Amino acid sequence: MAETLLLEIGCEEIPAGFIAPALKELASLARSGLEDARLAHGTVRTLGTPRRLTLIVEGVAARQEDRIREMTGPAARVAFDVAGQPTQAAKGFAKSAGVAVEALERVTTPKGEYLLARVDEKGAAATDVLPARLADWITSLHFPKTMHWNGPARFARPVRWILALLGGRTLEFEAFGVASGHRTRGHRVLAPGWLPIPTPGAYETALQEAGVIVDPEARRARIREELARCAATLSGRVVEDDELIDEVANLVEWPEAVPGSFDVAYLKLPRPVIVTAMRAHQRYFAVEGKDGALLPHFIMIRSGRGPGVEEIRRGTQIVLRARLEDARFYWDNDLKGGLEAKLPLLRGIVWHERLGTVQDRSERLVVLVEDLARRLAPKSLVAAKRAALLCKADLASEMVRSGKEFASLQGIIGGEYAAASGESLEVAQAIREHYRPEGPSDPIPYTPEGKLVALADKIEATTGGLRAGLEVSGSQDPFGLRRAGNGIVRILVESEWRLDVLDAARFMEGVYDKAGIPPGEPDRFAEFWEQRAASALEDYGISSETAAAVLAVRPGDPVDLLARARAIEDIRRTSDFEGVLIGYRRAANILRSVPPGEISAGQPMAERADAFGERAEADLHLETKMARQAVETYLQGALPDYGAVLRHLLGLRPAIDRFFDAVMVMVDDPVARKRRLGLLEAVRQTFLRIADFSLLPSAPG
Amino acid sequence: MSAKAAAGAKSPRAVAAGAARSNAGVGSIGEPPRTFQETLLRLEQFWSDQGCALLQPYSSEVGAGTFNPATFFRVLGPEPWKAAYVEPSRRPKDGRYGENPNRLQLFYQYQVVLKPSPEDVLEVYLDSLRHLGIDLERHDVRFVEDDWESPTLGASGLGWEVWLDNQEITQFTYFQQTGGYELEPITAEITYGIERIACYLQGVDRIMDLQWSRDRTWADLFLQAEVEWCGFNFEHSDPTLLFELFEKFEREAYRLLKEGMVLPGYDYVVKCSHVFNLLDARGAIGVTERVASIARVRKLARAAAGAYLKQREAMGWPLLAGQAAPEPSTTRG
Repeated sequence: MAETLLLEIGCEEIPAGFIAPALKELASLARSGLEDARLAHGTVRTLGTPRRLTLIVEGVAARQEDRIREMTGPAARVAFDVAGQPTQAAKGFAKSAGVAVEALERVTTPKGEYLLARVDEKGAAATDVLPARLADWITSLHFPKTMHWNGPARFARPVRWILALLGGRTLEFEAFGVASGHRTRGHRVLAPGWLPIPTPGAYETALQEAGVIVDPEARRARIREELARCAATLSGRVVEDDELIDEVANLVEWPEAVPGSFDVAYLKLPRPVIVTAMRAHQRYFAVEGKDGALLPHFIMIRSGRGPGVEEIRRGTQIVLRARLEDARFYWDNDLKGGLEAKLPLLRGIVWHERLGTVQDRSERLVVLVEDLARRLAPKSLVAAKRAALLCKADLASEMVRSGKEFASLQGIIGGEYAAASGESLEVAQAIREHYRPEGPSDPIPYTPEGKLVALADKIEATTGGLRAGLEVSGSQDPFGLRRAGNGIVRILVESEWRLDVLDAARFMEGVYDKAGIPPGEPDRFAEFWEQRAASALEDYGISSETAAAVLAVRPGDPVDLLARARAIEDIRRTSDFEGVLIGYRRAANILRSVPPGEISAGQPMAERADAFGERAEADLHLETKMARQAVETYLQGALPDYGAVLRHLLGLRPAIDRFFDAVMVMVDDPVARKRRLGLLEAVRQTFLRIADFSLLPSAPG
Repeated sequence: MSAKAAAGAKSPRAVAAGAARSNAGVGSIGEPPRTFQETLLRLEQFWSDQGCALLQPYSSEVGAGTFNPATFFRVLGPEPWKAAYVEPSRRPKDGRYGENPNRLQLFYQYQVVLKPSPEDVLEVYLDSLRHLGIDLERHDVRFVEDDWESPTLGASGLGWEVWLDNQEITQFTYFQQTGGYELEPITAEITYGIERIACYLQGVDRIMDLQWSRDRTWADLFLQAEVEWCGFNFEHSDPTLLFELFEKFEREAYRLLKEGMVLPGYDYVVKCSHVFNLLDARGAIGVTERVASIARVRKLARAAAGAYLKQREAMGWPLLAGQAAPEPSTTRG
């Protein structure tokens, strides 16, 4: 009869972030382990809290499936003597396989004929098979960090008990120096003793009575309810924070909300500072009023239930006050002399041994931002320069240097200090947002000044880093160069700002040269940039072939790259495009087969068609010339309509086709040959204004 | 003494939280202690009953009880060890001239080291809180991941901050490494922040208002010292002298360790570390220099740990005598 399997690893408190991945791994170990053990089963699910990782498998078969195992024995030639009687070798093999000698079969293999025994293997009882498997699963779990506590075993935290049941039977084994049993433990305080579990079905209810909600999803749901209930009593609403809910759900076994308050005087601190003080270490939820302004309240989730709300509130308020008091101490100290007074301190902070101090870096940012502003947003020049000068000043502030939770607010803190030091709104906002985007889901800066400083910050970081020899390889991005590169693309594309990043990089190389920073390996930035741009284009849904094709031509300007790539993607699968590609490839192949010296585009052509051997040649000449003129006209526009450009190229198809139908290129007459090669080269050059179309494979079929 | 601090010192004491309740938890001995010194006495009694050797503080300035040889050295090697002691701990950078209610440049740790770590160590620890009169059912106790590391000692471990109503009252660590040496058996280190706990037990919000003895508050005894030491740490210390001392102490430590003077040599390692902390508080150490100086102290600590292991091995690990080799214990869950 099928039974439910219950396995619980009882631990000392496992770090919250380890729990979900470990449960996922446990489920997958169970699935593959049960299959390997030939044990049929139903649903596999996992539950867990900081003190327990639990696996429940329903409908586990009582026995393994039977099977016939084939065993290969000695070679047939040694298994029988001349009289055809089985030798000692055959008898021995039969015995070891547990079958009669007569039952042995022969099998032909590439190496010759061998004996074969078919062994009828009865499935063993699940209760016999499972213990070793379970021990194996739980000792195979991985964690980001493990420890010793007793002998060589490693786990996230010490394992203190193991509960293992198949139906009503205990599965006995040992792991981590702990013998499995039929007992668990309840909440540390509410029900600290041993709690016997008679059957898997009784597990969740028994724990619930012992103060433990063992299902993480149920704890999350309860936290939401508790937060809503509590916020209502504070006449406010909880500041949405799903990430925090997930974390808190894995910090407690029985969530219950306790509201608290802090002195309104602290509300004069910037909101991010207050929210960080509540969130980072304390994991309190912030509460805001209907108008969206923070209220001097918070909600903390305790682990437990019943009396003590007053005691807990008192404690949680004291600790928050200490943190806010720290913030106020830093805030007041840092503001002495304003943000600008921090600038000289940047000289004491080394950015990179080859690239100098943070002050050196700030000076370069000012130079670069000026260049960028002139090209992209001249009206923002003054504010952007000021912001670039000040944007790193908060690295010298107590708030960021403290290494406490507020260090994560770099940039934001600088913006707040700038505002409090009397800098303009634009300058403060640019500083606040200049680290953006910090990841794929983080927005780019909102203001032009912010965008300029963010761009400069990232271009300086990547060009400088690559010049100094920093590596970007594999999945590692220790210096954030890849992230910065992606940021450059996103800021330019989402702002529709036209900038040739390779131009800006060359500008920076000049700045580094002037500062006496030793040159790095050539072309490292260009390579890095093409990888970033290719990956960004793919993120925008462009195929890798199209990305490669457009990157082969003018790769520095992401807006232009994307426009060209999208136009090509739009028409790539049309039959006209396929047709023109065939002609284009034919031209390119011919050109490739000829020594480069023989080719030069723009061979003199007589204006009158009858000067040509073939009418088709004259047509192509004229059409190419017109197409080229049209393309060039479009390319001079701010952002060319590449769809229209491509239509002009497609328009060449009939002329190209007629040309190849009617004209021989590689004729003996050197003048005609040279002229026709020149014409094909002119066609190729016209296409190459947009992309390297030879990198586009033709449609399958 | 500032007027504010003086006023604080004379403010009426809050009544101990929950002192009058009858249904205290398991192992509780009823009412919480009313003074700081009683709090200490309770911890001393509890851990004495657990079989710990009660030791006294180290006689040199340290940043934490971990620096005391009773932890730094004793966690090394196979010898078992159970000890508990108070450690006055100096963190020059953390001082706030007595103005922040929770931050001091000198505070007291109560340090317990248990080697090998007992299986029920967390339950025993919770019992120690009950012994302090904390009714755990009326509070939120939590073990929050905190991997501890001392870059200067080359020591690290995994464990938790213990939170009582979100206040960190204890650092609990399973030592994994000290002086760069992997440890076996593993020591459990329990470090109580006594001021924090006492504030809680006495129902006061500021350390300065703690009742130390029946008739003296923390402010009566230490406020002036706190203000003065902050003045020294942040303003009046002499960086030139301190840099000089750092160099000299470092040389002396190496010389002594080389001559087999393990404990005297280690004393100078500890002095180096403290001088570094003073320089750091003074803002006299640049970022790169800071990293380099920490590495220098760590190298010293490693040398001391190595010398200690060599010495104990040569002595035949004397504390193993009369002890069966510790076997991994097995319990049925």
